[in-house]
Amino acid sequence: MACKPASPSTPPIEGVLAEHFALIKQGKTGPARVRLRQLIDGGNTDSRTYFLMGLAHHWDRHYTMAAEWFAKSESAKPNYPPASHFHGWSLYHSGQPEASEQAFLRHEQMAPGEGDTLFGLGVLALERGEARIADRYFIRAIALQQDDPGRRAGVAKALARRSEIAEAESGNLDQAVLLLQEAIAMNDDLYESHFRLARLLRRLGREEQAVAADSAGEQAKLRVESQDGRPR
Amino acid sequence: MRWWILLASLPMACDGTLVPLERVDLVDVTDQSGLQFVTTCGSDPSTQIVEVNGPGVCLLDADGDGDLDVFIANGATIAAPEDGPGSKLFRNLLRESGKLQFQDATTAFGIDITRWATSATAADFDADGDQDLYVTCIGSDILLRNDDSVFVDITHEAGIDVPDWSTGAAIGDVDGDGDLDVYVTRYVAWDFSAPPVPSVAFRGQDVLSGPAGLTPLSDTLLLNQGNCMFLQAPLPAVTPSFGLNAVILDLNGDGRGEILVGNDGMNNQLLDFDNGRGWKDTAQERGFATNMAGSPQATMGLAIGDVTSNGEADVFSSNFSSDTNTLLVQETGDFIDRTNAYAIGSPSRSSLGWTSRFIDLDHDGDEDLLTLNGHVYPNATAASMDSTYRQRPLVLLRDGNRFTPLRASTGWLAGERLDRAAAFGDLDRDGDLDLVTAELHGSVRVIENQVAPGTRQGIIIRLRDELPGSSNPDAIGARITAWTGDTDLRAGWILPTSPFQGCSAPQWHTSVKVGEPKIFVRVLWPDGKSTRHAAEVKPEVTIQRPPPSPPRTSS
Repeated sequence: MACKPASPSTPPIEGVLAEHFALIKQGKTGPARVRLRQLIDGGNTDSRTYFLMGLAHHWDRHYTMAAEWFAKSESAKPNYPPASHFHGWSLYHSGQPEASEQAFLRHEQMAPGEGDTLFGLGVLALERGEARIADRYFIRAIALQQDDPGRRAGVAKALARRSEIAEAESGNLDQAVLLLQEAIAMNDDLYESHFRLARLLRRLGREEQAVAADSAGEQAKLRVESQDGRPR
Repeated sequence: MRWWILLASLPMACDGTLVPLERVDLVDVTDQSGLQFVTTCGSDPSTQIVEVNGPGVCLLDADGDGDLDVFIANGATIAAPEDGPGSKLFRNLLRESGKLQFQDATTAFGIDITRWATSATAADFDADGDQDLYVTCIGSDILLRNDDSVFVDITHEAGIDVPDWSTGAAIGDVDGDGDLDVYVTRYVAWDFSAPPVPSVAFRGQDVLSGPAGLTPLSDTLLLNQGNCMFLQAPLPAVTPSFGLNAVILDLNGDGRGEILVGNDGMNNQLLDFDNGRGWKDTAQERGFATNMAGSPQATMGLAIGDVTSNGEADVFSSNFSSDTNTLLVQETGDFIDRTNAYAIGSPSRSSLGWTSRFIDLDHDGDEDLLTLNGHVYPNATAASMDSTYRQRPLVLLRDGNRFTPLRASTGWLAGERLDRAAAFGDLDRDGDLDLVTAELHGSVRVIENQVAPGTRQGIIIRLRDELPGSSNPDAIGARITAWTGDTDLRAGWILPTSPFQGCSAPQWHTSVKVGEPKIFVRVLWPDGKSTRHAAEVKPEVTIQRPPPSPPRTSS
């Protein structure tokens, strides 16, 4: 749930919808969906209702379903920009990269400067093999979030992706290691970064440090999985 | 400039890219070919993990007439695992009829296997000039020796005792003695009389259980002692895993193959022989164990190719839905995850992949990627799992330094099926690679490559090592590099067993410009010796290993 209120024009989720939102945040997505469905069946066509329906599916990793509701939210009133952001991620996770990019770009047009949207665009560029474009997105994502203590995880993700580019594009393993270490310092829960760091350290002949990184990764993975609460 | 304007102006090269379909022409010719067979793998829909991997496919020249025949390693049912409808051998009638036609010749070849079979590997284990068959099973593996086109069960006299659930048999010379050894991947400890709990939760759905939570089996390494006698080698340092496929390849040039093992949901393994300590797993230290994120993947399919054109073998794996397929390239002996750099990941996220192969489908000189797909859970839908039960194959066309998905709207490539195993070879001997696929609970299909003759033509290269004392006549594991007058072609390997539960023909395929008179080939034979050859360009080129040059004498 990295999406902050994107702009002053984003209408708040309030009233009964706030209660349903609270259910989703508690992981009670089934009850939330039932109540949201009742609202929709009763004629509620508010974009935020559709958005929450999408969010409940997104939480459950039902990304195709989530994308359908986020699409409805995008075409409903009032204009609710976070729907485009989450639409981007749900399309990404359901294997629709082109549509995902379009959703992220729509969000960026409506609510410029959301770091996680730029991160998403960077990931998509990276997965297309366009590392330089991806790096520009990640640099922007870092710049937009680095002064916000609540966005350390977002900065860490982008740093880790920059490390991937440093390794793959320029073969600069030392730089890749530094970026990963910086990412882990920002968010120790990024277990993938621990594992990647271990592999890079091995390539650099630093076996003892690699073993420690692997161990830290295992601990982080256990920690994250025990706290996640989302279906796997 | 405002940020959104900047963003909108960024190039979106991959967006909506549609590759002209006529560059690839894979046509389902099953009906015309006469190969009509529906496979068995337990009940349909599947309710247990034993019912999801499907049958195996193997191409071999069973009768020595030069055409590729088709062996289907067929399954059985949970109620009668030893008494299924039987595996089949279909004879290719191309030589007699001039057409790609098959005839069920199972009985004529002396084959009578009703046990639940999972795959088959053809190789000339006894170096007598014909191909024998190693059939992996759930129950106990079977070795059939080819005696003048009659297959004789020699499992026991060959010293083979591989029980439980085998998924595939990779071949290569792992001990440097020149003959073909066998590495059998094994999966789950399975008791037909006591199957595991039927379901677990996945994405909020009840799905069939396993392999997680079940007991993994140790793989088996069978060392060929010559004349079809095998000795089981101990693998004490190798962790039992859910093995699905393996490739034997000499990565370090020491004349003995290392073993790359693809495991389901567990770390992949790279087994390297250390003279002092026996076989050890070096996958973790060399970057082969997991993807970049440190996550073990499902690794249903393994494909070997030289993506980076550095002469070293790179590895592609096909994986579970919501995960990505993965490309590991070799750089100075380490495997580096380059999935993103080559744009491999995104197109595969909604697919669950099986057989995969690097193959020059469009005859443009570089290798594309073909992956067969289909989910394991009958209740998989886009809504429930972001992935459907029946799925299309995925073609990624090599386009410079990346791969681009090909989207077909008609034909075999557009069909949604439960494809699993496939084997590749030039069935109609026209210079390109065709394939035979086997669908779970479905048909065996003959897919003819009808890529139009354009400015380039395909060539199939086969190696023969018939020198006295040779015990690997098809040169399994050899590395080929080729070039024409002005163009270096990529490197490749004679590796028939790399895809999932399949065994392809021991052929290497490339394409050259029409009008090229000659192709030049350098062969690095499995024993480490190298030879150079020049051959006339034609659909089939067979390279015979020349005798070693006599030592020079000084005058």
